[in-house]
Amino acid sequence: MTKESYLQALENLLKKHLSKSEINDILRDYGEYFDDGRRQNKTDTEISAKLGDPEIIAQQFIEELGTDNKESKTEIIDQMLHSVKEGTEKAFTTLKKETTKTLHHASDKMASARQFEKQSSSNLKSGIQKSTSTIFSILKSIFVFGMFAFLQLFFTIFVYGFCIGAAVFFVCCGMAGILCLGFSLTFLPHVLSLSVIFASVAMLALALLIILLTIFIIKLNIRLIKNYLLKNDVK
Amino acid sequence: MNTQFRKGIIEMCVLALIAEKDMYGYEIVQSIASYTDINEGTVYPILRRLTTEKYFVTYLKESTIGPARKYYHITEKGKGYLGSLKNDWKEFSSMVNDILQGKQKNEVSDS
Repeated sequence: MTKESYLQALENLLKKHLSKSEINDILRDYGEYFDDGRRQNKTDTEISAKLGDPEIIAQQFIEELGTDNKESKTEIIDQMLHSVKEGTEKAFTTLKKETTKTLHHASDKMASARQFEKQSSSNLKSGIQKSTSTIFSILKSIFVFGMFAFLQLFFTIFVYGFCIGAAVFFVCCGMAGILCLGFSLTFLPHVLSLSVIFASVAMLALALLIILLTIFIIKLNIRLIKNYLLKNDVK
Repeated sequence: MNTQFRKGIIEMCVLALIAEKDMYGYEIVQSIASYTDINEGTVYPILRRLTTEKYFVTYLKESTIGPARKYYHITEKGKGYLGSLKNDWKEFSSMVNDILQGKQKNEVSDS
């Protein structure tokens, strides 16, 4: 590994965990080490072999700084965001699966109802019992469609309403925090105003997450409606 | 050897070396590497932590043959820390030696 590729590898491994200035300082140290090694007539390959795997070194830097308060805080937030993202993704795949299953079921029912209708219209003589069951089936399919429409309405009002409301709320909180920055810096102790900044940024990040989630839900919903209409057309 | 244990010992050696005289990264690493086989890259994370814990201060010094080098200088706090580490080490190593020797004697008398 050459000096440049070694430093690049180290930078990539540290990027997520340390600040830009810390990384630059670390890369400066290792750069100096390569320069000193070259002066001893060593090749880059020899020097990087002696230094050891960049992964081990990056790991050690991360472990050493893991006790630092600021670092562990961002790490916890990262982990939280990650688990929230994972959780919602899991929930959505389940929801998607269940909804498609229900929709499949519903469209199957509708198709069978139609078939039943055709059959019964070609066979008018088969009596009152059959026609009542046909009417029943039609009513059922109307009911199913109605349920779908109702659910869609419910979904639109509550889920979108909730998502957009939450996003607006968090954006407001975040912006308020940032707007009050001048005030908090002058009147509050340093630690408190730092936590105000931290909270504002977290609020904005949360708002962004919710907006992304909303877009995801809307896309999913459109796809489900399309699926529903398409299936009915085909059948 | 256990990495945590090894790290602690290298930390003590780094402190002891820099307590003798101000040194730059490559010099420190090579001094330790002349005694034992180590991943040379793993000394820097230790140097960095000892610096953030204020056991060392660093300064840049121009060298005649190339770009500036970062030198490490031990602080009073670092000297105090090294002193306590040395005491711990003396106690610990004499205890380990006693146990190892005692165990060997016992094994001989048992058999």
